[in-house]
Amino acid sequence: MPPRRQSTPRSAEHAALGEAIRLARVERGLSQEALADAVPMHVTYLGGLERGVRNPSYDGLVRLARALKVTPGALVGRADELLKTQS
Amino acid sequence: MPGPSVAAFSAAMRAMREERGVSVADAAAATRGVSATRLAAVEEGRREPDFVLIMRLARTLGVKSSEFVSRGEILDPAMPLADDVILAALGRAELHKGDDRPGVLYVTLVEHLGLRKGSVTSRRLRPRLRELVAAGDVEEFRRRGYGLLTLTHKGNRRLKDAEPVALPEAPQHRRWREARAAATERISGCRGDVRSALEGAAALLADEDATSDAWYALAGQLERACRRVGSATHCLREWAEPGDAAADVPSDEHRGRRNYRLWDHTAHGSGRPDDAGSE
Repeated sequence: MPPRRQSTPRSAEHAALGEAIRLARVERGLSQEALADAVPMHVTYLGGLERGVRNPSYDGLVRLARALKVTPGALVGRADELLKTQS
Repeated sequence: MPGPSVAAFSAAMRAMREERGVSVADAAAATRGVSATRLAAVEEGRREPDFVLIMRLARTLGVKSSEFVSRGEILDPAMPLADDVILAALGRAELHKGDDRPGVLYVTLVEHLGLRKGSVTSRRLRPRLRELVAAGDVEEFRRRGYGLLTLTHKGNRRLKDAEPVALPEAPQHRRWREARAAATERISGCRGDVRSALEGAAALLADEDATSDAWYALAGQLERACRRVGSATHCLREWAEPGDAAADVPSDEHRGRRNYRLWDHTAHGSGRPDDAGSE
């Protein structure tokens, strides 16, 4: 059975990471479908990541960053920045 | 763009935990939902970390989660070294030299990057250095036959304008940490050595027929034991944790008290002054 769709982020950090992923994707002019195909990962999973309800593995982060053409450090760094401006 | 490997990331996590002097057990205890078994498995590369673990461990260690990831990129031999990282490491190496003369050895730069000296590092770092020299950010020169590297004015400006990067532990901090760990482990044994030397002294005082050899042997034993306790005490209580912003240079009278490696070898304890510089 697939996991139930959740709408509340797992944590503020997950929400920030999701936002960083979404921003990087939009800046590259990619739709969720196009990015999911490039990684590759399921588009539902990508949607979950962007909403902050999924918890990516380190490898998942690296593959996602590669598809977004940024370093994983830059992607997570952006999430750290977003978190800082929120609090 | 290739990504850093999980192995390099795990090594970065372990290095940053050790630099803060936190054991696996303590780190796991302070991190919600992370057991010591799992943390050890992640550090050894047997299990894969996920974002929850990365983020919570970062909070425990007081670093940003991106610092683990960036550190993994520095440690991964397959990843190119970023200009900003090399310039920042060179700037810190020159600052930590503790004197006004410019220039550090290549091996010192390698140490500040947290890398191992060798052909793998050399193949990654040398071409990047040549590019930085060609761009006018770094200058290579010789003094007394040693090849030295220094930041040019342009390189310094570029470093000041860049985003601060998370560098690996500085060599001076590693020396402080390792000396403290050794002192913590050894100090009670060293105090025991003083006690047994004193018992030896009491025995000699009671013995009218003690030879001069016995007295001189005791003198050496007592001096070595006292110096070891003194050195360990200095490492534990008087040596302040060195920050990154300044060179950690011991005062003249404290030179030689910081080198725990001499504890087992020196006859006179004064030893070699600490290697605070790089030459």
